[in-house]
Amino acid sequence: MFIPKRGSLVPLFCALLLLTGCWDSVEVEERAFIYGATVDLSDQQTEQNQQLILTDQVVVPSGIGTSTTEGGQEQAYRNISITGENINHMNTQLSKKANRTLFAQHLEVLIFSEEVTKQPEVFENSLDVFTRGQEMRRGMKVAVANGKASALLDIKPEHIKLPSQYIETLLENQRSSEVAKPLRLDDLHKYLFLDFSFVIPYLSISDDKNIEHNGVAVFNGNERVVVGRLDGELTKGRNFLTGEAEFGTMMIPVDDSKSDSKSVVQFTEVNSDLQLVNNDKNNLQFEIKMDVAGNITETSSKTNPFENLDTYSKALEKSIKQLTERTIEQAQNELQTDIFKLNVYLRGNHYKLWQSIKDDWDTGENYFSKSDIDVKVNGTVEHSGNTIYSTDKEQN
Amino acid sequence: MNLNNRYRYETIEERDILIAVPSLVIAIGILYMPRSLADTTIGLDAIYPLLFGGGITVLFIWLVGRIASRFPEQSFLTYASKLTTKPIAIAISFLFALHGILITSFELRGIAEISHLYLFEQTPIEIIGLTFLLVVVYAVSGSRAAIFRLNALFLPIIMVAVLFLLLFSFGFTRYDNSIPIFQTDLQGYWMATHRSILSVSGFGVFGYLLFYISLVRSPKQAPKKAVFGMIWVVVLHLMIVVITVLVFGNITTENLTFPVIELARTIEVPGGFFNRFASLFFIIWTMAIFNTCAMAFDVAVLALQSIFKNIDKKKIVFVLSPIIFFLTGLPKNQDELGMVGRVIGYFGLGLVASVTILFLLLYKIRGVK
Amino acid sequence: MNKRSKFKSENSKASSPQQDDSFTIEIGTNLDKNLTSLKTMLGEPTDLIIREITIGPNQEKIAMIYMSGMTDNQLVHNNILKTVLSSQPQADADLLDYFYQEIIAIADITKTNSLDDVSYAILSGDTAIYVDGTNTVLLMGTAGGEDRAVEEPQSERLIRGPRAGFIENIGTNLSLIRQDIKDPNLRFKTHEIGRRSKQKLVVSYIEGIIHPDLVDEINRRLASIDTDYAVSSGEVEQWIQDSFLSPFPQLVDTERPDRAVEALLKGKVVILVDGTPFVLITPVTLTETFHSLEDDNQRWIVGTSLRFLRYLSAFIAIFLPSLYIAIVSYHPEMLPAKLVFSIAAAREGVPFPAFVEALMMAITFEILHEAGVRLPKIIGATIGIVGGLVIGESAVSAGIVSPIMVIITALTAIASFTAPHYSMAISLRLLRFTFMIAAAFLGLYGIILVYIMVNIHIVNLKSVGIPYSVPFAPVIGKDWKDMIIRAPLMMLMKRPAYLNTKDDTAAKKRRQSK
Repeated sequence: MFIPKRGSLVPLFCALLLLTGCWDSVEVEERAFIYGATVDLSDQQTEQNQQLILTDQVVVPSGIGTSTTEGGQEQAYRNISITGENINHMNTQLSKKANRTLFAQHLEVLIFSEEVTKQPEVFENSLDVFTRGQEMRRGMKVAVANGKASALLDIKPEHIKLPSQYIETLLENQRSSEVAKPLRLDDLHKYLFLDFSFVIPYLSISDDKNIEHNGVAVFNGNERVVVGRLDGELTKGRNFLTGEAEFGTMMIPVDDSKSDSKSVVQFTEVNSDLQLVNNDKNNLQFEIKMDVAGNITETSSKTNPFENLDTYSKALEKSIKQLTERTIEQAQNELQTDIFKLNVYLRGNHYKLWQSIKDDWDTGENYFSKSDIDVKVNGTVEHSGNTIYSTDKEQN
Repeated sequence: MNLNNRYRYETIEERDILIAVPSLVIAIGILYMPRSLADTTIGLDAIYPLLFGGGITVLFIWLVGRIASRFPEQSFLTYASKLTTKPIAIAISFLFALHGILITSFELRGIAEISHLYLFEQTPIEIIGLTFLLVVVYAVSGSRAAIFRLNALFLPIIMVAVLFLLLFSFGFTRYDNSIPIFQTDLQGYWMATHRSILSVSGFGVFGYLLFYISLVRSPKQAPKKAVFGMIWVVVLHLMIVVITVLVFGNITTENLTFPVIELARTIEVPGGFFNRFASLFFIIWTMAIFNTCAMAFDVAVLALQSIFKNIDKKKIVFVLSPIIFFLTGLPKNQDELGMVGRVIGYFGLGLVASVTILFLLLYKIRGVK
Repeated sequence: MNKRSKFKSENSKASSPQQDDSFTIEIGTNLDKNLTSLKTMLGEPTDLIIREITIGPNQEKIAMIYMSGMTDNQLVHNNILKTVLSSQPQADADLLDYFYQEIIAIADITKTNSLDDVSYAILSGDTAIYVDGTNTVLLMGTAGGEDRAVEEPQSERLIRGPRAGFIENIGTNLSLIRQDIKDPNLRFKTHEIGRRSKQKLVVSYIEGIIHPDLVDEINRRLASIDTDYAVSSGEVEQWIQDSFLSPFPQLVDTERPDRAVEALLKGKVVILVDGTPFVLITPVTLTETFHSLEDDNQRWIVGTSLRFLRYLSAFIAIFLPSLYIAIVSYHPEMLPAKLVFSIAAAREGVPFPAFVEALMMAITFEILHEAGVRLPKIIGATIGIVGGLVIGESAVSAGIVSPIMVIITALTAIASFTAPHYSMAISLRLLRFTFMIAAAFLGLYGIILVYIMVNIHIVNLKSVGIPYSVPFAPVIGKDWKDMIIRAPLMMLMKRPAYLNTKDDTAAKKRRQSK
């Protein structure tokens, strides 16, 4: 019979395993899962450095409840805050307050208060811990809050027990065109490397049960701070220009004679195409062509939509053009920041030109503000909805 | 058990070579390869030097296959002695054994380092390395054909893992990341070519075929199989680089320690039971690293076995293991480890290239059979 | 009956077991003396029946001898005793020849001169007739006795398949095989095992299909068996397997003749042992241990799906508890947040770490299983109630284990039972513990190390010289369509390539002319 000698290895291996023990073993119920985190500015300031407040929302699993253990009235979370200069250091300090091992692998949302993002370096430095840490996931969503960010974690949403989970799903909901796409941490990371300007979803508390999107905060990649924000309407304009508006509606005036007759168009398709027309860096000319298609969902106009889709299309084109031009105006003059991803386009398609202007793109010389952005809209209203007449025949 | 040879299941077959090449080459290197390629290139430009470097490696493996397949069922030492002289052959065998030992300890340290980074925090790095080494020793003390069978068992799993990774990260790719094209300067291409040869050849381990192909019973098709295996590796590198750069963009890729693991960390399978793929991916990658380790160790054993004919295989294994474990602890940090990797890689590449060319010339001049 | 082998008597005068092989006691012509020597040899057992009859005009003495309970009584009474008693031999006739040729209505009848043969025959259930004055003995094949009927096998049930199973009698078993294969090349090579039990062991194969080396190897290994008594084929299996350190079965057992026949036709060896309904099939590979005949009986899509279901179950049976331990204690980040929270909530209040919890439940299950197997069927049902209700339900409400652990234990247990071979199922359940320990110490990393070790073991393991990991490694692509999936029948024209059969065509497409 065949007797392998290497059998002697097996007990050796077992002995070794027994000797090793389990250093990293932490039972799941012993961990404190951080689901959301916020960073605020502290009132106390030292001379050199800004003091920050880090608030972690830690999940209390039994509060969420399972079938056997009724969640009931128990709160499903607790918020732990700490003040300090350095996020990671603060995180370690937080462990002193938590009775369990803090565990950030399920951290989904990261919210900065507007003040933090306006402090040069503070925002970037506090982001570093979230991109460097091995336990941070790259898909976490970043947002900016109006006012105190930690207040968002104290909201009592009606259906969801975890405020941060509510915020997460809120950020993901793209059914409105006034909402910017959620900003993933790895995209943010990339933009920071490339010195690109970008927008961050902007949240504000509407009442003690609800949070709402309130446009976007605009981050200037060259100046490394948030320079301002766009309101919902202008965010929509920006989303048209970048082609990011996927869902949503727009109110358009139909008859110019009667100013009160409005009609609502729901988009089915929004495409935009960006072209650089000339190469002179002091007078860059961009052309943005947009194709917008939509259906009428509501109208108070007397114009028969079934027969006059063209009229509606014209009206749609006109209102989009107005909106986008207002947005461009705002971006070039007030914010002086490229929020239309022109930077991405230039780097990708005109690399040499980009290399020569990138340091003065939306700062200093500010080639962005000097450039000329021409918008062409091609609007189509495809369908008048299920009913044909907007008003009763008898009234005519 | 005298039945073994009659069924011919104890010899290495041609088709084993096809599987052995990717199993040998794919290991730690590929996990950070996108970083080192993106480092000197812009946009997706890394694929051109990768193709070029891959082409050179494929050519080399064909030469290796050609020379080794001329001497079927002979050990490396035997045919090397015929081509050169016995002392030179012994010296070359020693160098290969050294390379095998170095590669084993490098991979061992690599896996300990990465699992320390992604899986464990407290567990001592020595324990991670030691447990892995013991498993490798267990494999090497078995039969050589069994190691090739292990390749055949693990490679499909590894491929499926890679395919899953690529498939799921497809949704995270951005067109923006693929542009600009052709903006890299020549210096950048040159550096990237270097690095891609280093990675595609797996730090020179593809040269181990000099030992293995000659063991094949009838190795007529072996060079072709080796070439196919290598093309497979190049395609795999290509896919990984393309997807990684498309997902992260060139700049981020360049700044990630292990871009491929980061890629696995990025994707989240919606609605899945495991929505985080990274730990699972890394665990499966352990098998790839294990295959490389086992074969590198085996080559070291094989080379020494042919020199010291009287010493039992197991004795060689048990003498080498502590040496390997000792070497594992030498690099002080990640940076040094990377440097050691490059040194081993260039040593291996130089060794394989010079031995292959030397042998081919001698074969043409002397015409030994 | 088949050719009888020599009987090495333990009870003859010389009591040493190391007897000369050619030892025989010549039978004399004196009936009384012969009977005495026979009785002495067998030790005058109470169940030995000697019926002395006087017959014919010459009042010749004859004796009929058999062991009660081992013969077919009908046969002995009607075909031998009655006909002998009612016979009227001629005065000058040779009584022995007369019986042999005219009287006894039994086909299997032989003459012998050796006491050795006689005693062996009687002990096997044959009937012997001694005639005074001659030294030749008639032996009649009357073996029978109490045999179980051929009925549906208990251990392997099929929905669609023959309802026949092997029984304890090797003769019946051979005939069950013979009924299915009428090929003249079907070979039954008889061995005798058991120094004292003298069991018959038959190696069965089809010459012309099987690789001859395989038969030689099996015969060589069987010859090495040296034991008093092989309790069943399981003991034979352990004598001839390749590695005794392996948790995996290298020969599989079956109770089903159709399964044995299928194996024979594939080019394998079937070993039948007297006294057990379980026959052994070898060589076998890892994937084949997950095959059931059901796969072949169903259409190929169903068959293939069932096979994959079984692979999945095997995976669950081995890995699920260890994955649970690894995830709960080391890597909760692998799971979606909601799942983690509900696991954490469920484990809230459980006083043990996941490993202890899992180990406790796994061992409890094994105890329940073992108890259930041993108990009679009627009491067995209570085990289910006790196990399921009392232990599962109460343990959860007492807060000793989490409900998720109960789900995992139950799923693991059920999954392990899908393995068509019990010996494989039990190996899987054993391996599960190794993985659990590894997971407790090093999490996923531990699991993968043990997984690699198990794989190293498998690739080094052989079943009668055939690598256990075929057709994955070495890769034999041709065999994938029958061994991993179950391809449509018209694609399965060849016998498995890994067996190196001499005749590799199992079926052919026949064109029908219109």
